[in-house]
Amino acid sequence: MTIKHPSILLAGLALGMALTAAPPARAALGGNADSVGADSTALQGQLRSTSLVQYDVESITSGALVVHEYLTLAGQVFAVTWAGPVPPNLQQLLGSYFGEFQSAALAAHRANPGMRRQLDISQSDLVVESSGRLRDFHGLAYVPSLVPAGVALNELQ
Amino acid sequence: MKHAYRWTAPLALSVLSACGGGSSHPGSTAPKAYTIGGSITGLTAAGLVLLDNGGDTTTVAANATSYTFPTALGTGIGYAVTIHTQPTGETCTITNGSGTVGSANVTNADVSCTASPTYTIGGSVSGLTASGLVLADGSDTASVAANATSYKLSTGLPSGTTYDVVVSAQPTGETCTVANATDTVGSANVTNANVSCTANTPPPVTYTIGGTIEGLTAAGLVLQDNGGDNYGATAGTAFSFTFATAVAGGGAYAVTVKTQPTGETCIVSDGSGSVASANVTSVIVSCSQYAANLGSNVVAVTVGNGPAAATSPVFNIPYVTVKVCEPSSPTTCAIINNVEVDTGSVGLRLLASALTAPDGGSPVSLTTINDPGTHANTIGECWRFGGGSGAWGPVATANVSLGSETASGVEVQVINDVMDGAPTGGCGTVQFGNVSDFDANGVLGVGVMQQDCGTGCTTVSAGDYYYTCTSSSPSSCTQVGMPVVNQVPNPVMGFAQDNNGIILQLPAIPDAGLPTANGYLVFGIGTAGGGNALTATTVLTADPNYTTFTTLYNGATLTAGNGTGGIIDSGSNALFFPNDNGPTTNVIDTSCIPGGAFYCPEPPISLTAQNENYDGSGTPSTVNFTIDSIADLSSDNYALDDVGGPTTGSFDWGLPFFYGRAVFVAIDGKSAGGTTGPYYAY
Repeated sequence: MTIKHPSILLAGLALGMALTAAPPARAALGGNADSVGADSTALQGQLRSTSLVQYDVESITSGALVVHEYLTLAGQVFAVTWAGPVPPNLQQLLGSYFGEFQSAALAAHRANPGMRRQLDISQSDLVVESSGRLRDFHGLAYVPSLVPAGVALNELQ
Repeated sequence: MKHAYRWTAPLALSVLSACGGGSSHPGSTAPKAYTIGGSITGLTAAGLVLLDNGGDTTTVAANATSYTFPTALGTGIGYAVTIHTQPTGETCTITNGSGTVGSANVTNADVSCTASPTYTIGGSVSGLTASGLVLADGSDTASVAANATSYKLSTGLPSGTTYDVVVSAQPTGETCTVANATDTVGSANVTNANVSCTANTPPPVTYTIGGTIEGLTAAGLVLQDNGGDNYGATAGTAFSFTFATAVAGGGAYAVTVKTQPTGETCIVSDGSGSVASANVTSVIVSCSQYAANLGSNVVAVTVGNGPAAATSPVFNIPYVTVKVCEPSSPTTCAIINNVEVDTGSVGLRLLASALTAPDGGSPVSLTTINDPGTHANTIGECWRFGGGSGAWGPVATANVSLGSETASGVEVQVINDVMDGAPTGGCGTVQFGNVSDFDANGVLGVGVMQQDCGTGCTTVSAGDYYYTCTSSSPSSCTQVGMPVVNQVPNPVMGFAQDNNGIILQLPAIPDAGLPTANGYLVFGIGTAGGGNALTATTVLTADPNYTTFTTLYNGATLTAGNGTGGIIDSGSNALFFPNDNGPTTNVIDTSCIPGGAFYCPEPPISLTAQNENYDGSGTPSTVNFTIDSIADLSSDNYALDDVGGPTTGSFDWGLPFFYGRAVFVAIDGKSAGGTTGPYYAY
């Protein structure tokens, strides 16, 4: 897995424009564009939107925590990334995938009880990479089947 | 006597003749004489001597068929043939052996010989359990099998023969002796030349005394066992040693340091005891320039298999023992072993179970502190891990002691304690709360920061961390911004002295690892009288926001920042670094472990990275390291030097980095050895 940090990605995507968020519907990964607004509200963050050829990026900033949600051109969230002094509430960001994530995380913990600072989950319909420590948490989650054709995953780091 | 008799008789006879009738036969010759003899049958051996009239003898050759005495007798003279000496191995008898000489030679004093009866030589055998026993009587030998209870020599001996049974070869591991070994054969088989065997007394079994010497980097160390046997050691990576003199099973051993090495102090642990039935290899000799201050500003660190209650021990966790006392009752103290030393976090966190059932002392009950906003509610903390998990529990105050250092009234987190409510965010994907989750009784966070979260937690944000919890019905916990001064602090800051940072030193260990490794945690850097001067050659200033410095690896620059950079982290049990991040594709196999959490290169690979100040200033410091496949490392070894795994964006110099190094960790804003923290140095 090659996952660069979201802040690196942001540096190359600085052509954002303001977007007025729609009222919250439901949250996050796999959800529609409305869910981004829900996340932003839940995370008490500010929202910024960037449109690219293959996908859109919605960036939520809450204090020092930055969350990026990646949407297909059809408006479905196919990936989220985060970085900040504290980790985000993943129940909010992963939405309907949280249950699967939680089961996989528990299994990973039991398989490698020493791995507290890092989690790598790679399943057919969900990939999560989460790591960090004191004041420095970051991660990425995506749904492989939703990733638009031609998008290199390491772009999303 | 024979001689006199032999010649007296003829003389008497001639006198009689002369006086009796000689005058009537004047001119007659001497009387005629006749020989005495007979046939011999069955004589096959030499040695037969016959005797006539007790005086005349004749020796008969083997196989003779007749005999004749040399002396002839006159008519009317009595004769009596007897056996003077029997032939060897035969017994002869005489028929018609006596009579009176007539007018002819006597030829019918016949001798008949037959072979003598023989008798066997033997006896009982007792105690023989092994093969190899050979008994002998002269040239006659007999091999006796293991577990035999009797023996018999093959050659029979006639009566009168002297025998002498000896052991010509002893059986394996036994010694045999023969009773009644020598005597003369009578008229029956000999059955009392008894053999008795006993196992040889084994030479006393001895066992060697030895163990492992760790951290020795100077010359001059001499160890001594039992006050006499000396072992001179030379500096090197942790290595095993053995005293020259072995000790008998059950004997005592006592290993001491006879001469300390130059500039270092070596401490012996598990150095004395009784030898069981195996070599002693458990003596640990731990050497360090810091060991002299053990118990003052230095405490022992052990990398080992951790608390017994942990179900699946994890390698590369450094443990110390912490003493925790109730501030309201300072003599009520718990001794808690197996607390993990973590340079990657800040704050002391203890499992509630470790406080209620400590390793020593007495159970303690810590008083929670009030939320500074409400002055009433308790503070709940969700301590977060990079993997998404969390540990939930209240913040309380404690008097914390390590060695002679004490932080009084310091805020600590009590994990998995009873709380008034639950965190709204759930506190992580998986909530850690028991010994097995941590493989420790707690975590001693001694990183570069003053508090655990800093300004990232002073306002309520997307991340759940601090909560205010009310017992008012319904009890609940809600996220709250926590002022920095009220956050869980670095406990080192609470010490009266030696409070600007720590040094964590572990010994160099072999590539294959060790079951345990013994090091030292030193408090203070360059503090007065602390023996803790900043002797590092590399000092890396860290970003005060992110705690990281900058690492260059595989062509990529991992700049200190949000989610990137380098860190020296004793709380990570391997070196975690990007697998294929950078211009140079250099992917290391991770397939040997499900989930790919660790690297599996075959053969081991040598890699290099450079560390530099967080802002890129100064000269980069090159670090060479080796990664071996985790599949090749013994699960018996809890100290492993060459383990690594993949991560993203950052270079986590985990515990393997500490082997063979003293790592200095200076706290943000504190002057330590002339340089202000936050920094890492080695």
